Amino acid sequence: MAARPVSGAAVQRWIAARGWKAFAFQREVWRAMKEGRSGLLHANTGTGKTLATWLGALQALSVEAAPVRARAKPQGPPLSVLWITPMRALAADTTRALREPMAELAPGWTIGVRSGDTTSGERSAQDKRLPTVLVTTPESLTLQLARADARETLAHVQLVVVDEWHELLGNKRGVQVQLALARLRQRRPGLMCWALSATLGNLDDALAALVGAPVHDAPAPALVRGDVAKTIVVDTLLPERAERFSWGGHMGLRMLPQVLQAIEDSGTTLVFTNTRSQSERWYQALLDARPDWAGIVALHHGSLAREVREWVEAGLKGGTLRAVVCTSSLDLGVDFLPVDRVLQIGSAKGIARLLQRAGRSGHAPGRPSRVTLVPTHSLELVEAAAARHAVQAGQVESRQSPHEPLDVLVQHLVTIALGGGFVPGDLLAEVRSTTAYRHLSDGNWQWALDFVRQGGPSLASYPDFQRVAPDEHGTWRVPDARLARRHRVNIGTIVSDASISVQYLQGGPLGSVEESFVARMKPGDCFLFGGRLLELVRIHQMTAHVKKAASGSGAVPRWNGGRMPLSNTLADAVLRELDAAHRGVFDSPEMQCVRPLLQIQRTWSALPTPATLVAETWKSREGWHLFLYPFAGRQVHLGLASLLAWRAAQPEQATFSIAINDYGLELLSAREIAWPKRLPTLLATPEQPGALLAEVLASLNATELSRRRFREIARIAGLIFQSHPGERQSNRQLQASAGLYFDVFQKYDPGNRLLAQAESELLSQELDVQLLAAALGRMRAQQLRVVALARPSPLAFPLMVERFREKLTNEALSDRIARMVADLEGRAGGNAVGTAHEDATTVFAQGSMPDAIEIDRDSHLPTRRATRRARRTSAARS
Amino acid sequence: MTTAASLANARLLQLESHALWLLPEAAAWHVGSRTLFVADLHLGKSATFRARGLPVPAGTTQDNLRRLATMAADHAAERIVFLGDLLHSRHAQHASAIEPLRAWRAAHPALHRVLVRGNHDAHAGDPPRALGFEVVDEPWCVGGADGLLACHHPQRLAGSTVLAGHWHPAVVLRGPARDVQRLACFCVVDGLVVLPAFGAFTGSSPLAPPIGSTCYPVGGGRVWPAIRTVV
Repeated sequence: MAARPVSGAAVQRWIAARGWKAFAFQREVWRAMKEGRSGLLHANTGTGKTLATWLGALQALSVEAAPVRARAKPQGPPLSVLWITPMRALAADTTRALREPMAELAPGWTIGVRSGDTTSGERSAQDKRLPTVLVTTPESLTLQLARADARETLAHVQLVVVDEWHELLGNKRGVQVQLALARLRQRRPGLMCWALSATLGNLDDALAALVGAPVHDAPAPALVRGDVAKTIVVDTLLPERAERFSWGGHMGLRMLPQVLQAIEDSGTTLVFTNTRSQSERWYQALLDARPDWAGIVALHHGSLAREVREWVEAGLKGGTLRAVVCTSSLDLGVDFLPVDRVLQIGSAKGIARLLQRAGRSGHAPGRPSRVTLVPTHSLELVEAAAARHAVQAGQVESRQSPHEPLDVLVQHLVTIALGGGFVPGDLLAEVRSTTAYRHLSDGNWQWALDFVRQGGPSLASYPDFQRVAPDEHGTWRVPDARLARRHRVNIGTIVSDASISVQYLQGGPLGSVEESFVARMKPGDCFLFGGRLLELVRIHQMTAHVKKAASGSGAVPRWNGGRMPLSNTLADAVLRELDAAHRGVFDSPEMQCVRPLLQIQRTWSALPTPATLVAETWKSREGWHLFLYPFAGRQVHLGLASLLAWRAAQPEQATFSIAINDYGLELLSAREIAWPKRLPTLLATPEQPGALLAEVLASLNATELSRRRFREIARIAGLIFQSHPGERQSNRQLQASAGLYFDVFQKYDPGNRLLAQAESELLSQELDVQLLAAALGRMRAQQLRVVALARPSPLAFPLMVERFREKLTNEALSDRIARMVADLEGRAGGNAVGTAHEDATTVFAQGSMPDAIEIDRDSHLPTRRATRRARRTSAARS
Repeated sequence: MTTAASLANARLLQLESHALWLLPEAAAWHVGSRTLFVADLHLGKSATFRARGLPVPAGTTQDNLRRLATMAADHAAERIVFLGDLLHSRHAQHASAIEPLRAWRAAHPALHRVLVRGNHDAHAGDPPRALGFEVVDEPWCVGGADGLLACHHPQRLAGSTVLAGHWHPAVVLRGPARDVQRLACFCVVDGLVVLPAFGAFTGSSPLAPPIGSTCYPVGGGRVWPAIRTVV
């Protein structure tokens, strides 16, 4: 027996009872859903997207009744709706929002959450029977697909809603969702898929990626725009004087007094930072300045334990918190009605992100949203003015789906092999129905199959290897239970360093930090985490046991998150502001404030504008510097810097240290390059179309970029995996770094396509050749001005102090080592430290090791990591 | 015979009672006893990975043994002492790691092979007898070189010089124009000489060598002058 959908009249009554009125776009969604159409709903944050879709679903779905079993408890209908949210923090709120109308309109249904935060008790209950509506993350959905009984448990799913689709579309998590949707559609051709999205420049692409290849006689998908007027205010906290600012890479704490005042003047405030470390520092600074705010100012980031995050979220909703310092962990959806004001510390990097964060305040129809920018260096004042102009002009970034990442495909093959197995021909058609893999070649497909079956196309290279294998019926499955377990705990495309759980000696978990951070610490060392100063007591089974530190200062953990590039939309807007400044127009408070600094730039060097390309040269103690300001964003600058360095290193070999930021690039070399003479030729665009690509590839081989890119690929493709808290050490003998994999592949299996993927991801994501060609073209049209600096200019300084640098070299290793050794000897003043053996040069050791080590004979297999721990403990004892 | 050419890029380390050549192949050569020392080959590591579902290409074992054979021939070595961790794990006892060792033994039957057991060997088990290894526990007195002790775990033993492995030591060099390079190294700290890992699929330690030790970086086909680490 099938339960009938909820009637339109009942929904109207439910809405009317709350004194609400349905918007036109909401009705449009309901109509489309009743017709069984999939679609994309695009509307500003806080305009009722969730409710629109949910009420539409209730009116459209006829759920199948649960089979009635004798003596069984009455049960809700089987799993019918999957609601996918990109963040764990959203799941609980979404569930609450869905439950309310459901309780009244579809009382027989059940609802539950499945995410990384779900407790083991709930998990095992769900494993017996899933609720009618499951709110889950992309990773947990893929885990469901990896269950041996996936075919049965997911058989009744009629609707999938993907919340915040714009957050997923442009990355590998989105590809994971595309593959999962293709899987569900293949099981049930009439499956409805809806996506909710805010602020995006390319809605048609977003819709196409959601619904996949058009299916014969399926109703056309709908694109619904909820044009509800929303006022967005963008303003800036101005420093007293722009020159007195720190220069980039800083935490921005100089603005603390203004931020304190802003919090004081407003109701509940969200203080967004760009990194977790920055949020820790800001939280501490606020409390140091205002001890009376303890308990009403809170900290929220993704590495904090669930209990901590939930406490903060509840406090926000209850209106008991004055301010929360947070990261992107609070970017999305959660309905924090009481938020009055949003502060953004540092650059928001893009217009879409700025709008998203602005939408956290006044998160209800009809109320204005306000975001206040807090610059961490002077040039962010220009960015702030530029951002406001871009918002006013309605310029928003587009996001594209990644193009057939083979690492995600390899992971998916193993997932499906676990989830009931697959027949290659059928699965290929399914995979090709996604936007990401619509052009997947037979060759790449065959390679992916070979990779999971025998390691690579040639059986000889990988003796004894097997992950997935066809059974006697030709269905590919994972025969080894250990491999299956390892795959399940490592599903996902979010790559972070191995993390270590942080826990009080007596008491609960506080969250997690990266293992590499803890590895540098000795017991007794202090660090700042979760807004507390903690002392490391010991590390045991992937858990760092800590206690409260008495007082003093401690290191702030760094998490290895990716650095967001400034979007091209925003970079272009910045260049337009500088052009106005060049013409003497300073028409906003921000530009007025930064005016003295821009004048220094103009006097010492020149201002970059859309018509002028500025290059600066300088000789320092470090070597010879070139600074160039194309304002094309980090990605293009990285490609451009590699290309320029590569071209400059011909015919005479050279080594360059490369720094980039969103405004420009720096090349630093040990010998002088005649930049003024050479730059015009070095910036040329080759005549033949393929020539630029060939040059970029050649320059790549001289850098370590592919090697670095490979880290993420190795993790997603299951080459390296994380250990988990409490896990026995038995996996240790299987740990190798991605770099080591990269090296052995290059040497012993150079045809491995994961290497090719590292290269092609670099070419498409990090140094897009098309964008690079466009940038070169644009620079050609600009007038080049090369200025020899007497001292670093305001634009040069942030590049000079940038610590994250790339290296490009085509010199022989021995030549470079010889130069470094000679330099060390020179610095030792020719009077090198004598040893018993011969003259020695002095370097600074980064860490310490005791004289001899004790080996932990009890552990399963003491490897270098165990040894390191032994060294640390004996250091503490001595 | 040891030729001048084969030691051109090596470095002579004068110890209290002995002279030891540090070779750019990441091995040590004691002329008096015609003995080569190598540490941490971790043979069969890639086979271990493959058996557990991680696709590491084969070829590293062959590569390791080829380098050993060339080096032994260059110096006309009579003995090779493996300073522990010859085999990575039990999986290394499988054919793909053992066969090349057997072939190597057959090609050079006169070479005296000594394995000082390391932590990995304890779990992997001794190599099959037919491979002709003399398997010993640390510390092992090197015959023909009084006062020279072969170990796996770095340690100090009064009145002797200890050769050891286990650390996989490496050092970071910095130079003009912010050039940075990590290199495997020999690490000497009074009475103890720690060799870099010889194995092709082993990696090196992320930790700096102990304070006060002297490092000899290996790279670009040379052993470089001493670098002393201070706080």
